[in-house]
Amino acid sequence: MYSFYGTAISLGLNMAVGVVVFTLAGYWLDQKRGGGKAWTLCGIFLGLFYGAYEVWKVVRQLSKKAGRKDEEGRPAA
Amino acid sequence: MDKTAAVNQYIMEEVQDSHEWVLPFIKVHLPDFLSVHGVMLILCASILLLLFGVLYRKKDVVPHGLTNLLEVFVLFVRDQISIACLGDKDGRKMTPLFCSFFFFILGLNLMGLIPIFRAATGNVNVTAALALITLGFMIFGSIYKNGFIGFVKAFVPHGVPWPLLFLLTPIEFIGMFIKAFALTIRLFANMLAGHIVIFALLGLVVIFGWAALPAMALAMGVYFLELFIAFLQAYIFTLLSAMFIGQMVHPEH
Repeated sequence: MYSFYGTAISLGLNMAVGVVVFTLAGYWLDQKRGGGKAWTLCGIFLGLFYGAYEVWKVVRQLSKKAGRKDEEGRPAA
Repeated sequence: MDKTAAVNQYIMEEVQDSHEWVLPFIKVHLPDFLSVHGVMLILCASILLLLFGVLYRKKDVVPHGLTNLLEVFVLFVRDQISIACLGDKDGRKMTPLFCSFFFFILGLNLMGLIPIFRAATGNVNVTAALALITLGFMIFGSIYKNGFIGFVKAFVPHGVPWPLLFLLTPIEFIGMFIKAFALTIRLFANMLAGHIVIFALLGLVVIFGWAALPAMALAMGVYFLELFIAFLQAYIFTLLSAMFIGQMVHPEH
């Protein structure tokens, strides 16, 4: 149960940091290749994709839990 | 220099690391290899050694006094964080690490609230070093427990169509570093922001005089909020460390 709190706490900042890290990596690649915006844009989209993927993982974990029933037939918390 | 600039400079001096430790009436010049935050780290480690090495009486059957107080936290970290995230066997084995994390960060956070001390956790280098320990345990703990193949397998997500694995596996791998990075930023930003808010509210009194006196009450409120956040951030850092290590060591969970 506590690890679920952890998932909820870490999700928001993970998404934000993911976008920042991928964008900076793209920017660095662009600078190295002598200007341009292509890699920065790729980085932004990859970062957003990473954020969405993290959310998808949490949703999958939650729906797995919701599908499980306890002994009395109630959905497990 | 006008008042706003002076307040600004004071706040930056208070929250940044330096080789000059300002105590009441004196300024201590520290040697090159030691900064104020370094002194805080050493002080906190010494306090913890004193608390747990000397004052903590392990042999008491019924703990009381200080031992009782500390044992509440130790048991909480062991049962609610370590064992909850890593299982009974590994959880017990890893409890010393998480207790060290918890008490060290808590000590540093609380020391930052005492006027002559500074908050070392408001320095990104300190939190990065702590997160690197977590990252090290995530990588080498997983290799130690599951072998190198098991470590690589932890990055392969289950229940996805196989063409997506070419995209998701590298992203999972980078995600491990992103998690550690987020751990760094979370603690650092929370502690730094809290201190800047307190100083900024007190700075209002310097800039506007008596008119800003109610800001003192607000600063007091934020101070107590910071007291709560000191505990909360120590808990969150420890919980997330345990969770991330648990995810790597037991990837099926």
